[in-house]
Amino acid sequence: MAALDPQTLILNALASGPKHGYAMTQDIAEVSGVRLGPGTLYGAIARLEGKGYIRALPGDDRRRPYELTAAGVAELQAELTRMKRVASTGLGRLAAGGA
Amino acid sequence: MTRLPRRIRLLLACYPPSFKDRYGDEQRSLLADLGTDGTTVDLATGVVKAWLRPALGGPGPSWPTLRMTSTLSTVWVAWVAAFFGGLAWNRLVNDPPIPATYSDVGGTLNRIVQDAWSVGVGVIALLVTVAFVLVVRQARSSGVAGSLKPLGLFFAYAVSMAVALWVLALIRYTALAREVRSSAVPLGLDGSPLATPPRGWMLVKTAAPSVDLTQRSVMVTYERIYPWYLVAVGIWVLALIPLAVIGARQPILVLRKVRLTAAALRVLTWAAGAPVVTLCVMAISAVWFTVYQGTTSTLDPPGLLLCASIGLAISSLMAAVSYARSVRAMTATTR
Repeated sequence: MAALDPQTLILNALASGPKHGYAMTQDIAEVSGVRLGPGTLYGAIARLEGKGYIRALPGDDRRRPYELTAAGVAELQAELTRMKRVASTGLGRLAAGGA
Repeated sequence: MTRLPRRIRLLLACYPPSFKDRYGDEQRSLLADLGTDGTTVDLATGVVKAWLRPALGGPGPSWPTLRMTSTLSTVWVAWVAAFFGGLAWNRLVNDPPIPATYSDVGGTLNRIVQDAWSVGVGVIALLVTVAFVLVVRQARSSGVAGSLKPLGLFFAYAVSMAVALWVLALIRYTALAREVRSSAVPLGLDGSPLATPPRGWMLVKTAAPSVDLTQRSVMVTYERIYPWYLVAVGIWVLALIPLAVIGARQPILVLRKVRLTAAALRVLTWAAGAPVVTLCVMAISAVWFTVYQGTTSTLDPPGLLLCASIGLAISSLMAAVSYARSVRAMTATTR
């Protein structure tokens, strides 16, 4: 998964608690500046559900909230750790190189 | 809820049925909240991805089942598109007649396409018959025979189109026989194809009187054909569009409602390889021919031939990719 991969962004949005589609797009736009369209958003949600990283909660069919599963939390944690390591390494190299 | 623009509703309708069941309402709700500006490309991309790589969690059919159902639907839609695209192909290649200098190229490639088409038509007819029997048996044993209704609409419309074709062909025969007694025969089946094994293009020709009509323009000018007959043919060809839509859609609806057993689904999916190969052979020949024609002549000024070839290539590629994914899913589950 890439940093701005829709699946990572969705997992990240759900880290603060269950959200439905609209709340997810708002959170993602606020945090990353990326505006996910309905096609991309629900394609990624379908894939995450298929992998067992998120699950739907009972609710209105039109505004069904989703939450992270234990596997989703583990995946997000691993992904964020990887990103943090890459980011800190890159920033350190930039500082040392004076670029 | 806010009424969505027609193009958005059309795109949402193009999603696979299982995806629509699961996420359709949520997508519509999100579109109502966010607005539809700039979402057309995003939705169109989402539709293609959802067909090629279906991924659904939660309650419902298992992943391999979804995968195989999706492949059968994709191959069927590609085949229907190729069938009706084939009519356009035949017209574009043969009308106006290709100059003698290019006849060998057209002849060889046409033969490849026609033979591939002949084999494919036979296989797909067999598959559709087997699938029909399996679906009817499954529907009756699970008490959902009412789910077969969409097929009734498909067959009723197809039969009415065929009857209309026969009427048109009879009128044309009468008109042509008066002018060119030696070459005009019912349904355009002259001596040479009758002397050889049945070929796919006979099917194409019989299904498209306008194609045959204009091919005969070498011998019979347009003026000798009744104008009202040309109008009738035009209406008939236009009526093929809904037939293509119904033909592509209805069997998929039935397949969705009447869930086949895993074994039946597996057999049909493996067998779908034959039409996929046929489509690919036709697509490669069509693209090669188009490139050759495009670089050696100006026979394709409007680019229609190129568009038809690209369309065939894209639909064949989608069917082939979908089939490969199903084969991978099937072999993964049997290992």
